[in-house]
Amino acid sequence: MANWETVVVNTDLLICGGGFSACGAATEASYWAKKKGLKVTLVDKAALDRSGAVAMGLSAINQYVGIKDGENTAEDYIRYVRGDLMGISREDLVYNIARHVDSTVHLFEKWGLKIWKDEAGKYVHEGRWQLMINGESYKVIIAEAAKNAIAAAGGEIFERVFIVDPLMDGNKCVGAVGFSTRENKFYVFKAKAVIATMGGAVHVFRPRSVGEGFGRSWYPPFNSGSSAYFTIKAGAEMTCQEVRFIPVRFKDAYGPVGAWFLLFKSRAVSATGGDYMVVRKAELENWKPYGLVKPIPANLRNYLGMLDTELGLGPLYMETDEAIKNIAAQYKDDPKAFKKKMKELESEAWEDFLDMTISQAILWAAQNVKPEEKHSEIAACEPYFIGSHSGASGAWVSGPEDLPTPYKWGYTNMTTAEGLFAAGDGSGASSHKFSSGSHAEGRIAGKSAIKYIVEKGKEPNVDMAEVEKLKAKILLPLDLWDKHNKETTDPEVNTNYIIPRQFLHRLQKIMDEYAGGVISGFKTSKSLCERGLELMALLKEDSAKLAARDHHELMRVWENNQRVYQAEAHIRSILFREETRWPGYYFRADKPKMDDASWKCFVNCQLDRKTGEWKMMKKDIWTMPGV
Amino acid sequence: MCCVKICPQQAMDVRGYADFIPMGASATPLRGSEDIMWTVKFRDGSIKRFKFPTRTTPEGAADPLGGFGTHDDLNSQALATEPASLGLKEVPTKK
Repeated sequence: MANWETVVVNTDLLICGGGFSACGAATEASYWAKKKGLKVTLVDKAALDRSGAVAMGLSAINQYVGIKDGENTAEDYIRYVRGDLMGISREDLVYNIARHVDSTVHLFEKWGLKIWKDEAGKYVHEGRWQLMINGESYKVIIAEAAKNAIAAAGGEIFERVFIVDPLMDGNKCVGAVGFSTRENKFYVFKAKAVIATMGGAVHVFRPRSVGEGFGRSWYPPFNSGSSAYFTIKAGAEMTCQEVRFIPVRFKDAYGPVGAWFLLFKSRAVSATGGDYMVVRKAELENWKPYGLVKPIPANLRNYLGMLDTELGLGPLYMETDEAIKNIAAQYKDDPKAFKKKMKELESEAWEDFLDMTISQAILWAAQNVKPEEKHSEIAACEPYFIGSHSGASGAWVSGPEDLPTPYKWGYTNMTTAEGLFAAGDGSGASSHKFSSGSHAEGRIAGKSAIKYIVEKGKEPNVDMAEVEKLKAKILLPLDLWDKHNKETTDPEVNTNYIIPRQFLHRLQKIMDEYAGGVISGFKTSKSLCERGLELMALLKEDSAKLAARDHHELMRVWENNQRVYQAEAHIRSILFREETRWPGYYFRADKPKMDDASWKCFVNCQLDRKTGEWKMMKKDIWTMPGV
Repeated sequence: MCCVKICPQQAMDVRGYADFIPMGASATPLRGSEDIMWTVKFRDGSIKRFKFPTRTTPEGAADPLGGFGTHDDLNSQALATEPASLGLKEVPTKK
């Protein structure tokens, strides 16, 4: 085995991850930990300032309810999420996040985030729930508050340490193991409670660009399914693993469209000039009652555009020039005001990309696109797993203690594995939390985990013999490389191992062709899923032969293993749910209709830690009384 | 692009992904402590410059509690700074 030092870290609360929900957990938990004399430890795969889904920045906060000003209520937010997810949402969790999210946003503002305000001093809304921000340093600011909170409470932050597996004592999570991505160090974190906030997953499906742009995706390429893998391996029940997310974005560089649709009121059309939302409106009847709610669910908006694309009526275009002209027309009688408004709109349009998707700004500049002069192409991206946005995949977590929810087995946001909590992309069926809601949910989980430690926390019982086995398994790819890489003239071509890049191609090919990726027009079926699972079983066997030549490749190996678990949970859940409920996310061609009588329920799954068998379950939908 | 933005020497330049972005364009940031200036160069040679604010507080100054009032009740639904940071008298609930 590779000769790496084993570093043991003892803590009370372990927060795995460094994005918004992890920072929320750290900020809140540190406050309570300081009072109770407990230690909080946060472990991030990257550097906290620029890690997670918001690493590059954002141009809007997508969840602000506005309760204090009477703009909306938390109940309104339940109705919104219920409609958008076609009736499948944990309304207790959605409510809990919605009632706390405003305080998160108010904290963000205090910390230094610049939120746009109008002349009356009110937040500028992009849409009903969305606020415009100057968000280039969004993550830096949120990380700063978390770092300051941890420092004030005497906690510890580990950066560039990649968490792989949970440590379990029966059904109780007692820590985690991982490794440094820079040094020869294997880490063992022993904890009384653990929060899994390691993001969702990208690159499970083949991306549209496969050359240098292989890493260009809408969701950050470094989110590899660490949360899902961790909670699945802990034996926790998972939910909504079939509910992937496919965003429609500016084509290839994946620039955001929210500001164009909501703020600039732009239309999207097919090449023949038709606004597919108008031309195909009748299709929405087939998906009622959700097809008739406002706003139209994200997956149905996708679907109408996909129908045009499928018929060869692409490209699809965002009518940016028309939208800007419409806004500027209000100033047509005042040339000076007109010029000023045009300049303002141009700046807003470019900031939208430069804050969060710089590649899109470069793509526009490289194609000489000036949005006020000509329209720009949009397309459906490849599928992602992001329970915080309009997808829903994640762990099944316990509901808030004060609500009359049937989903309660302990502490708020605790998974079915004792002592293991989840938030953000790590927790499922609570969609549309985005950046602010993920942070709020992290805070909820942070306080709840400290309460658990105070009331039930015991010294973790970690089996060090088991840890040694995990260390040997996790470092094995380095050994395989050392043993066999001289056997061929090109070390990447070898019959005794597979390198992470080729393994990833194999996974993506299976998902793309059998589980409804871009190449199959987002369509799949029972037979395709079953064949995909056959190929996946062979891929899983070969994962034992993954080789790594350095720290970076070792990280790639384990990212791929994490993706495989996310992928398998996804296919199994699609296979189990015998209907099509989110046609713009995936289409079960053999079950082309929504079947409320049989399938208006959650699909949950669980991996038996001892046997390795998957169990699939239906869980009833509970709706908040009076909402 | 995160690396480009935070490089203290402004020493990094980037081009677009070669497999789908035509050549000849660039987006170059220049960061200050409160704002960021961008120079966007188009393939046709034209240039646009933009300046956007990045934060309203000095770097490092974020107070985790935001100056809001706090409480000691670990059993309540109120998070550390609530209900003050909500701007409400109490955390909403459903019976």
